[in-house]
Amino acid sequence: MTASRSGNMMKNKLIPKKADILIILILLLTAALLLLIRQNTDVKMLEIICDGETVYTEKLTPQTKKHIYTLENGMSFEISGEGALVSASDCKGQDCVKTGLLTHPDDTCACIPNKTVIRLRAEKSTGTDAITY
Amino acid sequence: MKNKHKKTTLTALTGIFAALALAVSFAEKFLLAALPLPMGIKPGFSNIIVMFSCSSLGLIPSLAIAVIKSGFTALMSGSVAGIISLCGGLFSVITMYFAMKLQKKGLSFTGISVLSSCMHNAGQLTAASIISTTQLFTGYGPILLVSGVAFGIVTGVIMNIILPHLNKLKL
Repeated sequence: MTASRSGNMMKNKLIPKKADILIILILLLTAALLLLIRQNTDVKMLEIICDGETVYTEKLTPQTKKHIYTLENGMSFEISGEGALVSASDCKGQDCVKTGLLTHPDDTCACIPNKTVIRLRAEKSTGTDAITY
Repeated sequence: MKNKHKKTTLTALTGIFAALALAVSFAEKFLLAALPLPMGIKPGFSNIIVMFSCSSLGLIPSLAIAVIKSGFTALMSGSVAGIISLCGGLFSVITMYFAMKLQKKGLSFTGISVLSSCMHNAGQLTAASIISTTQLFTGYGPILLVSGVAFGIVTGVIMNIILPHLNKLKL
């Protein structure tokens, strides 16, 4: 009897209350909305921002060849048609290097000690290679 | 005299809780090595200690614990990490304190923990955005919200289970 009562009490503690569920749902919906507003395209714009200033941009297409871009602060980036990644940084945690390849629009990698952010933006494809007048 | 004794007890308890929070944070690093979590995502089990401190000691000692924790982070990982930790800690404790006032309206420690966990992430993201002078919410927001909810539920449930035992301490 005592064991079953304590078992029920334990169950009650594990089940969230209505207010908890409401908060969880609101937060998860916010996360889903943030994901939904992300656009998915084949063509992505790479932005490298250092100290709040955009220091490098490149349109990434499946034809973009793999190359390395290095900043003055010592950070290196490996850029390809698939995406971009931080290949080297002198920061302590190396979290930016461990983040790996950014492939989707709005994927972001920040190296806070170096005040550097690398991110991909959606770029609408026009379907034409060039426009001439 | 009695008031002085109370203040000394409160200071000592704040110190003990801060040490406990640091120890849990440190132990968590070993767990992180075993868990395949994305970069920057942490369970935040020291939140359990801060939550208990907030419910038993009040707002000011809990804020002090957040400041001590971020001071330790600054010593271990640098001033930038310390500022980010401080911002997350302060956001989390203040949210926790006001969310606890909603306990009478049906909010349990699970909800409080989820809210404070998400606000901790929001605080850290705000600090990171200010330091890097770049808006990082759209990039990191969804994953930090989902991880905040997931680990908030875990720490909240742990808190719900251990609270009756901790209450026996009669702080």
